[in-house]
Amino acid sequence: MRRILVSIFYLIGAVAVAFLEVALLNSPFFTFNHLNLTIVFFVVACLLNPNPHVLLPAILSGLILEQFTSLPFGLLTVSLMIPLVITLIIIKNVVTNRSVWSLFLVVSTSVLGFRIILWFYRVFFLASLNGLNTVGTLFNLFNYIFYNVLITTIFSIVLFVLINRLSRRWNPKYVHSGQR
Amino acid sequence: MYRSSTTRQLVLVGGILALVLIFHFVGITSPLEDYTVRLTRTALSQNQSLSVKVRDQYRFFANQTEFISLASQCFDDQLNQSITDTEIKKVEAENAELRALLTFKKRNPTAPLLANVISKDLVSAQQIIIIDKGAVEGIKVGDPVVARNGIFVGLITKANNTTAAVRLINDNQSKVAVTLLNKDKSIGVLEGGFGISLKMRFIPRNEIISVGDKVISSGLESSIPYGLSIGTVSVIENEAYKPFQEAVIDPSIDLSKLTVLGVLINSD
Repeated sequence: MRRILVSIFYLIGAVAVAFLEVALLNSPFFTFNHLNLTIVFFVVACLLNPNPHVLLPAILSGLILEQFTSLPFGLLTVSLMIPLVITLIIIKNVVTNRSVWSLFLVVSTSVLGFRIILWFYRVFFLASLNGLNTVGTLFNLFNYIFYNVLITTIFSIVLFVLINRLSRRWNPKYVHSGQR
Repeated sequence: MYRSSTTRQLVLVGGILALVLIFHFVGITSPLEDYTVRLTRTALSQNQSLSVKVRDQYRFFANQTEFISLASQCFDDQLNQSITDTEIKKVEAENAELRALLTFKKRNPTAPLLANVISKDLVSAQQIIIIDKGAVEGIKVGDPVVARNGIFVGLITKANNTTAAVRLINDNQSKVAVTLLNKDKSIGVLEGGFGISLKMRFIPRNEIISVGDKVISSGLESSIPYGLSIGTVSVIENEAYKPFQEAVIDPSIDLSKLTVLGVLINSD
């Protein structure tokens, strides 16, 4: 019963964060329109429960987000899933505790991975088809990616502090006893 | 055992992802996708309008000096209003006539399809926006998009069933054939990627252009009709070592504040 409730929570969460991300994208305030909420949600989910089935609702988020992008269908979902799977592997095999630093590592890795995959697609595929009018925009893109990673990571750290007060699961001792 | 179980689960996630993508391309998931977007597009378009309003308010009050000068201008306008009152009566009569024309235009199949802006493009810093009308309403890739009374703002770059992506003219991948309303009717290519301004390139050096000249669509591209307003020339760059001259163009409309657009659906 508990597993079903948790699954429902993840499904609702996946839909909610996807729409919230789209809504925040139009925000006039700089901080909010650089937040990658979907990635934060699933990285936190992976940290709390490091199992691959946690990533299944991410497909649903990806499909919702596909409706709000100019990229060919599927590319966004795949670009979202690849860094999340890498993050899960890092969480299971590299990260031994749940500290601010481990959170910093996994969130920045996944946001950077997500943006780099899309950037590669844009530069090496789209630009070869249509051509870019200015090289200067690459700098803007780097700038955009930098702020995206920075703001999302800061947000997740604030979230970590809040969750740390509520849940025992972020306690290093818990992780140690749980995985051995 | 532990590792093989994780790998198996990851393969399962990958399999489900592949299956979902196949279902999309086959069309099985289309009704669900359409329903989801229909359910939320009103809220998202309201959100977009609200965002533009908030941005306007913020900019309005951010500069105190500007605010005071605007306020004094407002008082002057109030004094002049009595003079314009008589003009208004005349305009009202014209308005009634125009409304009749508009009703006719609404029935006309070539009239622009009205669409609300619901979001920016989600994944990139490109100047792409998402509108709440899509392929179901007849929108196709390459259809021109206008704002207000026919100001050209961009082209459809992707058409989903219920949404479509519009590449704005200030995007760095946008290229449009345009004409200057000068004596020579100079033809050139309008390119984005320069912040809020646009650049018109490939203008022959012997043709005379001046600041303030209007720029319109040239009609050389089959999908974009002739004569759509785009902007005005603000700076001319005519260097001796360059084979062509260039002009910086200010768009006729603020491209960051679009809320309602019209899509000119091409019949072919």
